[in-house]
Formats: sequence, C-alpha cells, structure tokens
Amino acid sequence: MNSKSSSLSSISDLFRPTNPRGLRSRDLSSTRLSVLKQEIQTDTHLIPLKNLYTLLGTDPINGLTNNRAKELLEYYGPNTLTPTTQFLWPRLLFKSLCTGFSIVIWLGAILCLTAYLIELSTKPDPRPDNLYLGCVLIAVDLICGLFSFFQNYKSSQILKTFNSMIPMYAKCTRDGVLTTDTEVHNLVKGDIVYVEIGDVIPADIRIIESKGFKVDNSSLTGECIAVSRSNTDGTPNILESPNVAFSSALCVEGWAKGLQPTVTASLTLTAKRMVAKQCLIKNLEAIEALGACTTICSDKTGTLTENKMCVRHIWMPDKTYSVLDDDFDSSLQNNQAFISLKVCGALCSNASVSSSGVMRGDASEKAILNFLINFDDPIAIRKMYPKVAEIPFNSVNKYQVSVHLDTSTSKFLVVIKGAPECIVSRCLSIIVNNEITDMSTEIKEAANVAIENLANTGERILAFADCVLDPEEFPLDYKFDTENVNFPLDNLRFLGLIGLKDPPREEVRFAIQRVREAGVRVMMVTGDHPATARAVASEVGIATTPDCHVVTGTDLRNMTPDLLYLTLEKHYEIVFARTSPTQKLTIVEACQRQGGVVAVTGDGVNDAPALRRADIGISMGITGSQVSKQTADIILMDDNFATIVTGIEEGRKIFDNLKKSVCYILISNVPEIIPVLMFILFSIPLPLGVMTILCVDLGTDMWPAVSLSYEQAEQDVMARPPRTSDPLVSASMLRLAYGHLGLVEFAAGMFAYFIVMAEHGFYPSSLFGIRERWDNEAVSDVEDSLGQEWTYAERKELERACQAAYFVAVVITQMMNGVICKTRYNSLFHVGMKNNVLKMGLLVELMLACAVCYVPGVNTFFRTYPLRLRWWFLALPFAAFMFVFDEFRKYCIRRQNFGRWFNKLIYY
Amino acid sequence: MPSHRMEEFEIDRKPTRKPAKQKFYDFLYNDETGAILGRTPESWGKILIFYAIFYAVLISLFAICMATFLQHFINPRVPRLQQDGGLIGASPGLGFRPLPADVRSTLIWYKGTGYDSYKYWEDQLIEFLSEYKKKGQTAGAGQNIHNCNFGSLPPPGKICDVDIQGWKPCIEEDHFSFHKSSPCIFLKLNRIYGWRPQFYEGGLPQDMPKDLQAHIQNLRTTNSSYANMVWVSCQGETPADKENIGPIQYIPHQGFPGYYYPYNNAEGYLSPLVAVHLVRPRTGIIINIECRAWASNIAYSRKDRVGVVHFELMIE
Repeated sequence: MNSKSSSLSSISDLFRPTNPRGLRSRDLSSTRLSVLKQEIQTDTHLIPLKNLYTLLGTDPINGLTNNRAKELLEYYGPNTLTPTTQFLWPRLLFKSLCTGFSIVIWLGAILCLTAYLIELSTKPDPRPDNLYLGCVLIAVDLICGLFSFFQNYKSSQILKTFNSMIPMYAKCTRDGVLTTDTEVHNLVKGDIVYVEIGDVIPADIRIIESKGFKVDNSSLTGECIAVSRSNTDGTPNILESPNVAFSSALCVEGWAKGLQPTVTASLTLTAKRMVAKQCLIKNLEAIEALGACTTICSDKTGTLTENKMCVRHIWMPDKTYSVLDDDFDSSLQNNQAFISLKVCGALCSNASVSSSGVMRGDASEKAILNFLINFDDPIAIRKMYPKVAEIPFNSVNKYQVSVHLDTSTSKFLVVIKGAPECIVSRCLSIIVNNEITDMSTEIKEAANVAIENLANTGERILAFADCVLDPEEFPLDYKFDTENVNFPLDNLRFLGLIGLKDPPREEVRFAIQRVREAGVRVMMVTGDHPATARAVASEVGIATTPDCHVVTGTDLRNMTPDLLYLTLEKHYEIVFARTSPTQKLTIVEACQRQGGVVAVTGDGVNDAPALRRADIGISMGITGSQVSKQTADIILMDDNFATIVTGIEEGRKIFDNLKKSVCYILISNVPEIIPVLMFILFSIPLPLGVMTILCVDLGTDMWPAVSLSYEQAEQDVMARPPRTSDPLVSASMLRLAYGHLGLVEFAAGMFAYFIVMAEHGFYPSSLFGIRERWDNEAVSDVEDSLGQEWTYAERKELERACQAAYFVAVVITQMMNGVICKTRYNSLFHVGMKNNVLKMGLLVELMLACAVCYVPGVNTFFRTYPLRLRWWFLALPFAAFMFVFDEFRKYCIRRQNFGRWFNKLIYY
Repeated sequence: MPSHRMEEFEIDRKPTRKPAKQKFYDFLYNDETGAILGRTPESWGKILIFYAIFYAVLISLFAICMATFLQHFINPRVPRLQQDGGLIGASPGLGFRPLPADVRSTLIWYKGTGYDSYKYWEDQLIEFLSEYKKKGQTAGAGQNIHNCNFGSLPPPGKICDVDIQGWKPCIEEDHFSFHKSSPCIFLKLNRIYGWRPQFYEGGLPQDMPKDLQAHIQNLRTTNSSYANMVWVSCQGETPADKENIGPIQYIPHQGFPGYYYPYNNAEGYLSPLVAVHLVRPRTGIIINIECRAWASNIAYSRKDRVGVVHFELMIE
C-alpha cells in the first residue's frame, strides 16, 4: 500500500453524464468546449479532509458501504471518460454499404432489376441486358462497401487494443473490506482507493495518506518530471495541487516493490509492433488534412525533445565545461573538484540501478547517474560510503542532503545538492586548481554569471557541495537526526554546478526546416519555463531570430481573443510557455481564426478538447493518454516531431495522388459521355454501349486509378505553400480532363469506330442520320456505302464490333493516360516507370480488355466482339499525341512559360 | 511568409458583401478589372488562341488519320471485308415491301374496299419500284443494262435488267391487286458484295415445302437451266395461317434467277424481285406469313431471323 486516497471527481464531472448510457463523444458540444476552456473550478482539494468525508458520505477506514456505492454508480454513471462512439460491426458494415454515392448505385440496380422483371412478365423473350446491368451494379456496390468496411474494421480493432491497456481493477475499501478486484469503472465518488508503484491512478483522487508518493503527470501537464503528491494543503490550481492525483497518471515511485508495470510493458510492445509505420492514422481524412496544414502547434517535451534529461554542462570554479566537447574527458583529468563532484553526485541521489542496468528514479537523478557511469562506478562509490542519514528534497528547502560514512577514513561526509541559490550561500570554501580556498566574492560572482548563462540556454541547474565532518565532534556512533538537524549544513565546500537539459531530438531541426520551407508555421506550446522554451525553440529552428516572441500562460490568460489574434498576425515565430493544457484550445482557436488549418500535438487528458477542435489532432503513441489517443486523428508512435513532417509530406503526396487518380478517371468520362451525345445529335449508331462504359469505369480503370496513389511524391511537394482553397477537383483539372485529354481519347475512340465501320462498308458520311433505320428491328435491309444490305442481326453484330473497337481505343489511351497522370509537374523522363503497382495495373487493364473482348460468354455479356489485331493499334497515334501534349504542358508549367498564364489554365 | 505577416499596421478588413444580383452583373462585366464573364479580354484572347491551336492540332491529327486510312486501305467501290471476312456474312437476309409506317411493326393492314385505306401501301410500292422504272431514263445507267437470261450471263460491268412491266396483276396500274383483297407483296434478297448462291443440285432439303420441291423437280425436267435459282417459298406460320393464306402466285418466277449474282456494286445494279401474289387470303383475320429463301449457302433460323422474312397481313 502506497497511498490511500478518497476518490473525487473534478474534470471527469464535466464529462460525466447524468444518463450514463446514450451519451457519445459527439455530445462534446460547443458549450462543453467553452466549459473546458476555463480552469477547473473546484474546492474539493482545499477543504479539510473531515469536511470532505462528510460531503462525500464516506469514512477513511471503512470506505463507502456497498449499497451507497451502488446508488452512486447508478446516479453518476461509471468512472470512465466519455467513450468514443463505437459501432457494432453489422452497423459498421451497413454504414459502409449505404453511404453517399453507393445509395445512387443501389437505386440504379433496383431500377434495372425492376425493368427486367417488368420485361420478363410482359415479353416472351426478354433481353437480359437489364439483369446483367443490375447484377454488375450490385456487385460494384458490394465490393466497394466491403472494401471500406474491412479498412474501418481493421483500424477500429487496432484502437481496441489500445483500450485494453487501461487498468481494469483497483484496490478499494468498501464496508471496511479491502478488495483488489473492484473494476475501475465501478469506482464512485467517496471510494477509498489504494495505489502503489506502477499503478495507473484509477480516478481523480485526493490523497489521504502517503509515503514518498510521486506521480508522472506528463499525460496531464506535459511535465516529464515525476511530481510528489502527499496529504498536504492544496493550492488553488487543482492541477498543481500536491494533494490530488489524476486519473491515468502513472504512479512511478514509492515503496520499492520492484514490479515493472505491465501496462507500460504492453504499451511498449504494441508500440514496437507499430514502429514500422510510426504513425497510426485513425481516419484517412486526417492525413489528407495534414497535407493542407498551415500551422503546427507542437508540444515541446517528448515531441521536439527526447523526453530524457541529460547532463549538458558542468561548471567548476574556473570555467564551464561542455559534456559534448571532444576534450571534455581530458580537460578534467586530475581535477580534484571533479573527483569530489563525482562522489557527491553518486551519493546524493535516490536513483537506483538494478542488476540488469535499468535505472529507476527521478529524471534528473537518472541523468546525473547516467553521466557519472561514464567515469566511475557509482554503485562502488555508494558501497564505499554507506548512507547514514538523509533529508529528502522538498520544495521549501530546495535541497537534498545525505550523510555518509567514508569507510576509508572513518569520517562522516555530508553531501548536498539543490538549487544553486540555496547552495552557494551556504558555502565558504571551494576547490580552485586542486586547492581548497575561501569562497571569494569574485568566485561567487563568476558562479552567478555561469548560473545565469546556463539558465538562459534552458538548462536546469543543480549545485553540489560537501563537507567532511570532524571525527572528534562526530564520532562513529553519532546519531544523526534529520528532523531536528544536528549536523552542519553551512560552511560547506562548493564543488560545482551541473546543467541538465532535455535535449532536442536530432532530426527535429531538419524536419522543422523542411516544414517551414513548405510554408507551414511551427509554434511551440509548452508548460515549461519561458527561458527553456526559448532556448529549445532557437535550438530546433522554431525561432530563427533572437527576438522570438514568447507568450506565457499568464499573458495568455489576460489576453482578449482579439489581442491574441493580433499577436499571431504580428509575430511569425511564437513560443507559448508556462501554458496550462486548457489554454491550448484557446491557441488553436486563434490560429483557426486566422484561416489556418491547424495541427496540434497533445498527449494529456486535458489536451483532448484542443485535439478535437484542431483540424488535425495528433496524439503520442508512447506518452499519450488514452483520451488523447481516442480524440486524436493521428497517433505518432514514436512521439517524434519529424514524423509529423513525414506525415505532411505524405499528406500532400496523398492529396496529389488523389488528384491524379481523379484526373485519370475524369478523363475517361469524356469518351464515355460524348458518344451518347453523338448518337442523339448526329443519329449515328451508338459508338459505346452501357456495358462497355461500365467496363471502363469499374473494370479497366479501377486498378490504374488506385495504383496512382502509390506514386512517389513529386519534386515540388514540399516547396509550395499549403493549399488553402485548393479543392480536389479544380477548374483547371476539369479543363485539362474535359477540354484536352478527354477529347483526345474521344477522337481516338471515334477514329476506331469509323475505321471498323468503314472496313465493313459503312463509310463515315453514310453513318450520320442512319440511326432510326439502324436500330429498327423491323428493317431487315439497311444499305451501306457499297449497296450491301444488312439485316438487323448483322447490323447489331457490326455495332458490337465498333463499340468494342471504341472500347479498346479508350483502354489504350487510358493506359497512356495512366502513364501521363503519374506526374503533375515533373517530366516522365525524369520520374521513370518505377511504380510497380501501376505497371501491374496497366498490364491488368490490357488483360481485362482482352478478356472482355475475347473470352466467349464474357464478350456476349459485355456486348463486345473479338476484334482483329490491327484494330488494337488504331488509338496509338492519339496516345502518342497525348504523351507529347502532356510533356509539353508539364514543360511549360515547370518553366512557368507564358507568364505563368498557362499554369493557371491547366495546372491542377 | 514572415515578412508580410510582420506588417505592423495591418487593418483587418472583411470583404465587402455584394448582393447576388450585383455579383451576377459583375460576372457579366466587372468595372474594376474590366473582366467580361470572369476574364479580361486579354485572357479571353489567350484562351481562344490556345484552344484554337490545340483543337486545330487535334482535328488535323484526326483528319490525317482518317484520310490516310480511307485512301490507302479503303476502295470506295469494294468493301475491305467481304462476306465471311466481315460481319455481313455470306448468308443474305430477305426483305419485303411495302413496309408499314410504324417502324416497329411488320403488319400490312388495310380495308379491302376503301382506296384511302390501301393508298398508303400502293404509294409505298410505287416509290420502291420507281427505281426499276426509271432505269432507262437515267444517263449512263441504261447503257450497261444487259438482257440476261439463264443462257446469257451479263459480261463484266454490265447488269441484268429487272423488267417489272409484265408482272400482271402486280403492277402499278392494277393497284398491285390490293383493291381486290389479293395483295402483291414484293420480296428481295439482301445484296452482299461478291456473294454467289450455291444452287441445289440433286437432293432438296427435307424441310422445303412439297409444292416447291415439286415445282423444282418439274423445272429440272422441262428446262434444267431454270433450276439455277435462289428459290422462294411463302407460307402461313401456324396450321391455321396455312389454311387462311390461300393460294399463292410467284411472279415472274418462284425465286431469284442466278444470273443476277454476284453483286459487284456495278453502276445501276437492280436487285431481283419476286412478287408474291396472295390470290385469295382470308379476310378479317391476321395471317402470319413467313417467306424463306432457298439455296444451299443460305442459312436458316427462325429465331434469329436468318434466311427468312416475316410479316402479317390483315385485310378487313
């Protein structure tokens, strides 16, 4: 047992429904958002515990009665966060089968089948055309629907595995009995719960009693350092109040029971499995939106930085040493001060190293230990100097002291570390050039300068000092009292300073440079100190000038939305420091007010509103809380900012490729639609039948269209500003598709049609106006250009052949089109044919076309005809023309010829 | 990018809202930019030039392809794909005249006594046969007419005459016998370039009507050269129709004489005709009539309407 707490509800109250069922994430409406924007108002952490017990009707020893717990559960609903809407799979299936355009297809299919049934009942030998068409339409709908269903189902399964990671059971006292199997969602207000190391805090709790209880609140506040929590007086801000622990925070330290939290393990395992992708996209629109993203509001800790403290600088009386310098080791050879510092650092620390080398403890202590391991074995030092007494760190003293026995000299050694301002003032002597001298004002001055310099680079500074106790005054049997200190904590010997820092990730600097080139604005939103924030910002390239604007949380609280808007307009480079997670929402809204598409990273529970409000909510796979993952559109499995950049590139690429696919499909619309117009306007026999149109749209076009999404990103993908009002189908694309390439395909099709007709005796001129007699079953002798007379059956056979030739011409030109649509900007000679999926797609397209024409039965079904080989080549001149024209178009676009006028016209 | 965002004194301006009507007028002609229909005249000019060039190139490509093909591969008087090489096949279909006004129907229906009622059918036939009448008057066409018979086949380039003058009562002057409730229906075989009929020699097909078989056998004994014909037979479809149709007279022969074939797209070529005179069809009832052409290379399928023509007759 580590801490005994009374479960209360604060944040969760806002989410908690009065009616537990039937409330969905969607109900997080705008009113709620405004509630969430405010700081949480509650006094449950401020009032005395006794009053709290009465208020909640509970007892610290016996807990709630089972009946009362049941009542409360009934009244308030389960102890869960508002779940995301989850559909059962049949509903999901139904949804994917009947959405948007597929409804139209269903209607079409029903109409076709009805028409067939009517014909069946009225005519002796009905034509099966309508039946075929109906079946084809139904098949299309089913295939498309099932495809999207499986896609959705798979991703929902992945999310379910995340859900199963939250703890299921809590230890809780009810009716005076401690049980370990109370399900977390059955906890109610007033329950007394026990939490120990590795546990996820099951609810928002107020601490009744504790021992060395620390929680990792990073999922709430973004702080990477575990904070102490105990039964003390609360502070007005509940998030910082030390007597409250929040649901889903991780208990990291306590009585060393030494059990590795299984939760973390399974999380890491899943993360490892997903590591190949790094980026879990929850909905496809999100990555597409990411491509259009104009602003990224990024967290600092863990996203831009590595989320682990490292020793960066050491200051010892004469100078500052940088750990990263090559001659760092050699410059400290035989430095007395450094030797003592090493001993002090190893001793004055609660971090432990297990036999397997895994370190456990406070982030900064781990960092120091990690640093020391490079020089000495801290474990060996600890053995040499057994610990006698200890004063733990607390926020009033701001230092930590321990007393050790030097086994070699049988003297006691007091080691102390803490905030520099506290330590320096307690020191009288110092080691300069391996000699102990008095602490002069010059040296104090130099130390203060060093402290200030290091603080300005965002480092957390710890000062170290020691004091060898006089063996006569402190004999070996001396009893050290840590409550009423009976040993000197003044007149110490100053050893030096250590600067700690959460270093920026290596790849982030390049990533930020890239997104900035892509016209995306990067802002940092952090709960950290302004100096740290500014230092990291300039280190990673968010701030390129020293006058980067820093807005603190307090500033932000006093700003009107208009002022914030103006500030965003005025300063391009902005860092938000010391912000509370709730302020993120305000920032996001201000950015959106600027008309930006905003991506926001967040891993805490309180980030959820901001993640939802943002156009792209990005959660963290490693440190992200359950809620943030559920709310987010994208989960970065490696928590790395660079992955967002890949995401942006990917998003733009996907959007580009989507455009290519759409363009490809639009182009084939032209040769499908104009024949019908020709049929109506010029009364020629129909050049392309319905079944062959379907064949193109749903058969031969499918694979190449899809395979275009496998195209590599184009040169200009990260060199252009984010698209603001660039729709998927733009006017210039329509111009290109309908006005240019589509017409070439149409010309190719008509050429093939006319040639096949001409070879059979119907010269082009004879075809115009022939329709009425041609399609008349009663006319058994339609005369061609050579006086031959054709029966109805013969004519229809010829019509099929012509339609097949037209179809093949469209297929051939569409194949060329698939090659052309590979690029929007680059030359094909430059890009080459590396897309194997597309190559396969083109091959399949050709094979499908052959199958449709030559396989007996299939060709009667689709009303095509086994063409002569030479008719396959009729479209080639047009395909070549398409290629030449498009290369010319891209050349002009690249060169920005004709004063960019051309670009505007047909650069989609 | 940063520079213009850093503007110190930027004033937030909302776009002025215009009424829909004003927007429409602005679209037609915008005073500020001088744009007509959303584009400035300069822009329109460029677009027109661009599209003119593009479409000119596309059309000329199409024209070049068409011209090349038609000139090099297509003979204007000979089909490139003939008979079984193409889709017309080597089995000609059969056609009848007069055709009903309703395009989907094959019913010849009239009131036996009223001139108004059968005038339509008579006019149809007059129009159809006008070609056969004026052959001598058109310049050039008359010169290559050869008076063919089974003994004298036409020399190359010449065509055989179809003399419809003596086909009493199936002549214009006799109203094609429509007014006597015994109408003449004209049959013709579809022209297929280069097609030659294969005449029956020896055995005749089993399903050939007995009277035709007898007729052929009779001809073979009297004048064997007359047996080189594409035979024609008409009969009622059902037993009832067979009864109602009454006797049938074929004028001038019960078939198309072989010397009219092959069709080589010669100038002035006339398809041979057979006038089927239904001598005493029963009135007041629909009679389904099926006429069939007979040669050993004419396929027959009632379902696919091959080698056969079907029509209905109703005389009130």
